Amino acid sequence: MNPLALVTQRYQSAIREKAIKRAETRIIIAGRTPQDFSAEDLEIVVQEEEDKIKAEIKEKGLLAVLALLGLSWLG
Amino acid sequence: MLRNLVQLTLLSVFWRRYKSIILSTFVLFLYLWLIGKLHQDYVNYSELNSDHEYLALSFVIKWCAFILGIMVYLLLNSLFPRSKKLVPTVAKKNQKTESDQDAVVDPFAEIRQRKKLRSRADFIIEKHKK
Repeated sequence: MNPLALVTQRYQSAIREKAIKRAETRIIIAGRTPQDFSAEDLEIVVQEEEDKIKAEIKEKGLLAVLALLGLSWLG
Repeated sequence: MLRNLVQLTLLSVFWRRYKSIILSTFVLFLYLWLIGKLHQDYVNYSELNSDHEYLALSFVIKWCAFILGIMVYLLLNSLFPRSKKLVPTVAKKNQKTESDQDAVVDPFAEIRQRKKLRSRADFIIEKHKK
């Protein structure tokens, strides 16, 4: 059992769950229900949300590194 | 002020998340240090008595104890990687999804299982291939 694979798997599934939640919210805001959409359409919506989440994580990670450097964490 | 607050928050998050790993690593280092100390004492004792009969064996035992300790540590952390707090939340999530599936068929069930999701462009390319 590879512990690193477990961590990445958990990380991926957490992102997927978050993307599904966001996709559901987006669909509800549009006045529809997930049942109205085909499997393909749902996959596209979730994929878009997943990409957005990953981009946000990258952006936040960079900001965190900059903040740590700015605050002179080790100094 | 702000720096201390950020440090404290990060430390508390880090502690809550990796408590079991931090504690087990500390115990491992304590174990390795104790074994080393015991062995050092034995070496000193054998030198004082000029009795080197079991000296080589003591080194073998020491390294076996080191390897055993590290293996137990790796096994414990790879078999039970989640802390106690995380297990109930995961279990709750699973229960929730199961109950949801019972009530209404989950339209996202297939998406959850997929390793990689396809984009609109992927679908278009697939259709053209056909």
